[in-house]
Amino acid sequence: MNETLLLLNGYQWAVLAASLSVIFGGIGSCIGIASAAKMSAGVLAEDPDKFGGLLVLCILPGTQGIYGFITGLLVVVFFGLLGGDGKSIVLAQGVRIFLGCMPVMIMCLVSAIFQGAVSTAGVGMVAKRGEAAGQGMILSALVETYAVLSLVVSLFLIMAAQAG
Amino acid sequence: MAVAEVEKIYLAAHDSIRETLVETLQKKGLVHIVNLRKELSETELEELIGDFEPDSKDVDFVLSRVNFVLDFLGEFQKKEGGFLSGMMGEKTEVELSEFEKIRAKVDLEGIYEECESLEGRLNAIETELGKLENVRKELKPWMPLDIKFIDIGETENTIFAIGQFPVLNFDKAEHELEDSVIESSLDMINKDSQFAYVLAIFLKERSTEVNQILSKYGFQTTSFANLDDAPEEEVAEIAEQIYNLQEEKKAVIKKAKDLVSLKSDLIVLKNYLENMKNRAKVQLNFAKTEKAFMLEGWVRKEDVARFKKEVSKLSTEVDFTFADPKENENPPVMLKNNKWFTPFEIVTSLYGYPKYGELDPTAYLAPFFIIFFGICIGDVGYGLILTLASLWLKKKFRAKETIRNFAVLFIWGGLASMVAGALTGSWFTIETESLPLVLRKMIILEPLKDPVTFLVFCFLFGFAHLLFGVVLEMYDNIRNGRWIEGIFREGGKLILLPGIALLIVQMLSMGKEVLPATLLSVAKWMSIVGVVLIVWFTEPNAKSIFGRIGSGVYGLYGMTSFIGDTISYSRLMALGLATFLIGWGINIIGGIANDMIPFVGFVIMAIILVVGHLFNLVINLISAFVHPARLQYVEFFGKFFEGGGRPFKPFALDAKNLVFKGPELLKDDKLTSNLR
Amino acid sequence: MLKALRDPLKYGFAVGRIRVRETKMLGANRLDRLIGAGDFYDQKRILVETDYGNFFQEAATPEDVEQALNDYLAVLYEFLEEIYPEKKILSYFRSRYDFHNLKVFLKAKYGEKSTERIWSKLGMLDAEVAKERVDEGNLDEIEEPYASALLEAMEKFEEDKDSQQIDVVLDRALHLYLYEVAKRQKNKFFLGYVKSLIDLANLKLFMRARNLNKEARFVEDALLDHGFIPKGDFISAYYDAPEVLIGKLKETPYAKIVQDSVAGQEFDLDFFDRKADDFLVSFLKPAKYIAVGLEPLISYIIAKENEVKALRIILIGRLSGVSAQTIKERVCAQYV
Repeated sequence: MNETLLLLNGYQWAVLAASLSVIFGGIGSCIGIASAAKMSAGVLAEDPDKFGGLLVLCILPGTQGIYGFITGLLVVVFFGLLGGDGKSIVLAQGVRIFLGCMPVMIMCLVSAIFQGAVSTAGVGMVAKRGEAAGQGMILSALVETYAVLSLVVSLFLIMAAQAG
Repeated sequence: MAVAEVEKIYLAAHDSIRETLVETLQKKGLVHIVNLRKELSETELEELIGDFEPDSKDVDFVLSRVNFVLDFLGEFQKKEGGFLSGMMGEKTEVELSEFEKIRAKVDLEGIYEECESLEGRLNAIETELGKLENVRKELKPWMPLDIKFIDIGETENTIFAIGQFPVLNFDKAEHELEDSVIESSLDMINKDSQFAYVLAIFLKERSTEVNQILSKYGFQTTSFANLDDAPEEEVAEIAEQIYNLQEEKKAVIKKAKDLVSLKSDLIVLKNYLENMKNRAKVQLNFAKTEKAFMLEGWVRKEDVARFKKEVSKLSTEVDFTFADPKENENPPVMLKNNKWFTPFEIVTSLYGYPKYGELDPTAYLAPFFIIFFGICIGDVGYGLILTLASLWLKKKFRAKETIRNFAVLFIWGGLASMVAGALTGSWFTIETESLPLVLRKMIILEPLKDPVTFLVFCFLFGFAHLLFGVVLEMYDNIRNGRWIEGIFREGGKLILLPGIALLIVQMLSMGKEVLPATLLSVAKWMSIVGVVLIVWFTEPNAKSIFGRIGSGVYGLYGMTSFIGDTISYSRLMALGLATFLIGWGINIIGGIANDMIPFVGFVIMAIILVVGHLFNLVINLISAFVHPARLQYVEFFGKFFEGGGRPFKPFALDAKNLVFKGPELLKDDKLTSNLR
Repeated sequence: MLKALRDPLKYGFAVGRIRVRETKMLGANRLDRLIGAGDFYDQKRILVETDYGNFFQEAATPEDVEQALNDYLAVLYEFLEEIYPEKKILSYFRSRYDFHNLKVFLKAKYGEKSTERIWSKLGMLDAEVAKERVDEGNLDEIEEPYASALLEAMEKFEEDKDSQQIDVVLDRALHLYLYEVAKRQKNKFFLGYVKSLIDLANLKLFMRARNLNKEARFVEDALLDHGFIPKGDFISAYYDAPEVLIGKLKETPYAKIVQDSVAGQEFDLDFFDRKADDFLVSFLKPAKYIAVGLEPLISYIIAKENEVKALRIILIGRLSGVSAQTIKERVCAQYV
């Protein structure tokens, strides 16, 4: 029960997994949204009519933060981190949870940043041609695919870890 | 379901009817005008271009005045309609006949002059107020001084001076002055954290000495030119002046506010003038000689008769010819769908228009788009909110085509979400266990309990979607006479893909017998036949047999993309789960608030639930639009659609803030909607 | 990766603003219309549609046009100064006007008549104050890098009383300053632009000196440092046929420009100028495809400056009766 790996026991590994999923997804989304929003602010200062299209472009890199949040939440709920059940997570299971969350942690961080870069470029497109907002959105969503795939796999891995 | 057929038109006419003709063209909005000058510029007809600039200087001049007035009045208008209307850009309806009379109706000259004088007066008041405020601020520390300013300065023998020291230096200066020049006094009138404000009185004959000491400690003389009385009286007088000015300012602002009611007419006028300007601008596309002019454009085939009628009403000195589009031309494209599918044209146009003569994908993408949208939101409650909100939007913004179309799209999406929600047991993302039995009975699949089945469902939808794309390519090929490719190559794909899919399923089930053996051998043979067909018919017109087989093998290699494409549909599951899980998280947090916070816990829970679920809906709405759209563009369109057409944009009345009504106009509002 | 993280946050706002403004630039189409317009009045009407409109309301003479364009540039620089995250970048552009002004002042001080214009508002120094100080020889009050450049120029002039030295010294100081500003930005594109600028200046110097049969020593003195082409290449080829230099430039984009500028025994400097402008415009092209960063900002300023340059040629040309054809030739080289 009190076996540890790198000083952490099973329970702590699960907590770490949940925290880092939220943190990394969040960091990625913050950076992604900030880059797109900063440029949008510049565009809006010149041309306030473009708000609608730009808003969507700015929000897009935010999904990764949500995926991180979902993953974290799933770990909290599935393994009873809220109540006392979490204390009984054995080391092997804790590490499995942690590894299961890794796809989301890494992919959400990286893809949100790059999606932000694409969104930023999209903002530049919208600045030139207002009707390009849709195309910019789609280009930006192309990057998100890999965050989605990581979420799918992480979900399965977490469920597998729960099953034992 | 297709692209509207168009014809090319060349029109030549006498210069005297140029303006009237342009007016008719603008009102009827039938012709997509092409830049003839550009087309002639590299041909032997170059001299026809002419370098005439249509005259719009009056319009420019008036327009600049209208803009000034609108800017000026805009400052005095209360914001109306709020955030939503601001974002959507509301439009008002106007009768065309009224629109044309607007220039006579509005007394622009009068309004302009009034606004200009009001603005001038306001600026003057502001400057004056600023000045007075400054003096008042400077006077403030001197309030305790009970000497009139007029008495400050030199008398016969003495000098009265006022000024300020850095506050720390005052004592030292006072001591030194006391010690060295007895016939002097230094009174501190006031002080603040930085300065001591002093009155210095000394004999004229000792002034050099005194000045030396004073300046040593950083004394700065203060003077109030133009002020005579004691500070207190002066301040009172300034206060009165300020009061008067502010009263006047209020009066001016009220006058300006009274003018605000004219704004709606002015906006109409602005739109009118802009249309006049467009009339001048469009002529930059015309070729012109001394007595005649010529234009080139595209007209929908169904409008040709109308066009002839309208133009020949104008004059007999018009000559026009129609021609079918030539092979090397790229005519503009207008989508043509029945009213059920029209709203989905926004999905198509976001990607780009089909080439002229190509299949219009709108009707085919519509059902899948809606299903995918439904899976992504996947909640009865959210679907209901979305449907109701969209119904409201549709009514409120009925004058604005784009918003209306989006609203219709979301109504369907909302309904699909409700179906998906009922089937997966998602009612405001409440845990399945706490749902009433009736609702639980409707469930066919619980995504969280059985995510693998959910995923397989998504793959099945996706696979069907992709196969449908192949069918469309088949149809398009046959329609355009490439029936060998259509039947055999696309047919080969349709045989190969299900076969391979079955084999893959068998492979993934790791030895367990999920499929009957006969089905498996059928699948095997389907794959073989499919491979052969694809290899042989990918390039039936190849020059050599090696070339034919080579490109066939390459085509076969291209089939591998179907695997990745199918997996891409897993996003539907992820997004569907995301909606549910976030909502579930919100419910948990709300529940905790209710349990932990005494007395007001219930209220806080309600706030958390309402705000949280709205947030969840909005965030997922964007994903639920963007990702299904992407599945159409990348996965689906990739199978059959090329795109690259340019939209048909007829020269027509075009107003940013208005929608026109009237008997003279076309009933077909699609022509006008294509404008933006 | 780090650049990808930093640039949007640092330059995003400014790039957003200029992206919108870029759509409001004149463009080849409007310039064509301006060239083809009937008279100055018609040109003004076309300009009313643009943000130049306000500046030309009262303009009637070439001097007015000059003034209006200078005012326009002053407003432009002010706007850019407000939005650009690095004010230093603007000192790059504005210092050119200062050095130009100082040249005029110094020459005036030494009794040389100069026909050149003064851009009083566009530099960073207050031109009138600077003129006074130059006249008094009171250099302590002038900021660097101007003070030391002036000092050197004055010393040189006292030595051999050759007013060309003033040009040489101040040009070198200017280019050194430009190079340093660019270098500090640690931006490859910007630095490359400055280096190309230096190369072209050196090439022109080389050609002019050859046309005037100057001594190699003079060229050696005047050549600028920090170009892509080493100074030695120019010096060693100075007394040889043009082909030798062209051979040395073989790997660079300049070879063709120089080749085309050879006219008999001499070089056609006007032609070279136009080609050099073309080259710089083409150098800026790739910046269009960079979504965010320093590059779009730099290329926006330069594009705007070119636009003003083109407008100056078109408007003043029309006012002084130059034919549309001639104007078109001169403008196309710079713009389209």
